[in-house]
Amino acid sequence: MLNRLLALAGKEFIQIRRDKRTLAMMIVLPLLWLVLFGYAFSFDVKEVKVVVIDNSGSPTGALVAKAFREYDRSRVVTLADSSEAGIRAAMYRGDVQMGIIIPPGYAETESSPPMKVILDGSDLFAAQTGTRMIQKALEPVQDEVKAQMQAKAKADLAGRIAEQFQKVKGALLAQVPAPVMAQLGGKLAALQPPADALAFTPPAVPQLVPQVETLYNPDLKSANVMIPGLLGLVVMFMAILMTVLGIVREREHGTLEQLVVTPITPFELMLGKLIPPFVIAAMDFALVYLLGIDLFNLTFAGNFPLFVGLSMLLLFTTLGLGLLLSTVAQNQQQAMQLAMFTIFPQILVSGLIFPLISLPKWVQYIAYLLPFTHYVPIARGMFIKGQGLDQLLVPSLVLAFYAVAALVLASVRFRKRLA
Amino acid sequence: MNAPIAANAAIATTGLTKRFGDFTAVDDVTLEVPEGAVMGLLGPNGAGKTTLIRMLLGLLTPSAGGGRVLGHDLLTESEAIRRKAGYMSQRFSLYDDLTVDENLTFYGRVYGLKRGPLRERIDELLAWSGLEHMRRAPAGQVGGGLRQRLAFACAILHRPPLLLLDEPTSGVDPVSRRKFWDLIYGLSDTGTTVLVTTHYMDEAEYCDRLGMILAGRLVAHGTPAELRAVHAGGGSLDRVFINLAGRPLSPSPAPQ
Repeated sequence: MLNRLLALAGKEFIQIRRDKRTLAMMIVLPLLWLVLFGYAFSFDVKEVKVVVIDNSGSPTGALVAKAFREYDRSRVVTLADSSEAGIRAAMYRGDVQMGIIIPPGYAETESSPPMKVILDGSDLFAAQTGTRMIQKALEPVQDEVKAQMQAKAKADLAGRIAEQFQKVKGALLAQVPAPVMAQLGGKLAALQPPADALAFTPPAVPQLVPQVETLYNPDLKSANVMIPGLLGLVVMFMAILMTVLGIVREREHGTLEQLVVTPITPFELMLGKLIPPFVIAAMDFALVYLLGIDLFNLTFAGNFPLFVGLSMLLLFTTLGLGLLLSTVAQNQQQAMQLAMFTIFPQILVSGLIFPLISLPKWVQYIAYLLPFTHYVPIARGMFIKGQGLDQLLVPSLVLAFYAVAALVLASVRFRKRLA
Repeated sequence: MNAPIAANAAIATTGLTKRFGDFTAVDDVTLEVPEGAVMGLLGPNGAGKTTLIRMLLGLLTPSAGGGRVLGHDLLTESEAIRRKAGYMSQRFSLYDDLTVDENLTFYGRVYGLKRGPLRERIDELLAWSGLEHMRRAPAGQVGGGLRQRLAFACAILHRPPLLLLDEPTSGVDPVSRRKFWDLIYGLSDTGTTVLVTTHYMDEAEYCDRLGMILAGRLVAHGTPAELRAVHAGGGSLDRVFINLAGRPLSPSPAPQ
């Protein structure tokens, strides 16, 4: 049995080695995806094109305007028409992604109007970045604004005291006869307390800008979130394609029929046909894992053997699916199409690229039927957070169920189809 | 027609029948192939020859009837039959991306030949079939008659006592066909039983025994001489076929 199995698997590897297209796919595709998922599928926008119009005429307004202009993620654009209409027109043309208008009298009185921010929603990710950067941009000047407000409050108070004092003094002096007045004059002037002597502390302005701490992925890098899921994607893609093509090619050439009349049992045939896809998927897993960690400075936080084990469940599920497809596909072209049809919906709705919660409810139900949807939280949870089996029990059990079900179903159908 | 099964029959079937839905591909075939004989199954395309062979190998389950191949029940012991029998399909199922040598090595290992004896056997077969110079060539680049001989060598690597050949000469030029029959005779001389299907009348003459199949039924069988005597009054085998089928067996020589 072992001898026949080795002969079969060995033959498969010789064939793979001679097939340039498959070899290229094995090596180039994971690398391509790694770059794509690591760099290109990044939803962070580095710079936002900003126009700042300061109509305030107040020192606070000037400070805020300066803060926006000097923020390192702003790319300041100057417009000939510095009005709101000018911003809207520039946004329509696509020259500007974010407009900030500081209205006259900004921050002068309670009733002065707020600052206005205009965003280009057609540039989704720039608009989201813009919203987030408002707070960040204001952070460096907040102390200065605070000091300015407090100084202003203090000056206001001192002014009012002096005014009150003058009024009281005037009323009092009016009743004093002139000779006495002459004597008192100088001393009275000295009675007015200087503002500094009041020991007045302006009211504390609370720190409105919170201290934000992002756990697990502090820089919110998309590679950290994408690469773990990509591992599963590569495994799935390779396993299903190699399995289904490997079997259908032999059926097309008639060699499968020849194999069936040899002493090779259906079980050996199945195993011999699954070993090469298994090995290749495992090699690609290792390739993406090592290169991904190296290129994007990732750290794997969890229990690695457990991660390999759970990834194996996805691999077994996919091998089973590939075997099932091979019993349906008539030729290699159909096999390819069926494999794609099995993989792509899983990529789209698994939560790998788009958050699962943002999908419509009915799509979510479908998503939960697909094995890959259960692998994504495992990969991310283990990779980024270092989660263990206790947090990931449900998706792990679902994957285990799928692995057993797919392999059993596939082997039954495969044997039937051979006979 | 339940003929007693001879003890020395390599193949003996009784009432072997295969239906696919309403279509009866093989209809009540009772056949006996003595050990060491070269038996030809003659019939037009679609007569049920391939289905019959597939049942003998246990690839298809008969709808009715049964039989024994090399002493094994074809219903329950098909694995033992497959281990012993050699089979070559009309498609010469070879791996085009493997070399001649690799094809032989693969099938040899599958049939459980050990490394040393396998190497010797491959050398012997390559010399015997005139393929020595093609040893390292990919099978896909081996053409026509040589390709057929390679498939033949793959089928007899494990020295099967019974060889089933399903239209082994279809699509091969007449000279190669002639040479191929020399190989079959050579094998037969070593005691191997050969069952070969064909739709070439000229090949029928080479057989020790002949069965004629029409629409799934074995309409006549015996030695060529017997058939000529019984069905054509001593005329040609062509005449036998015309008398049985009401028309000549269509194709003559293979497409070049």
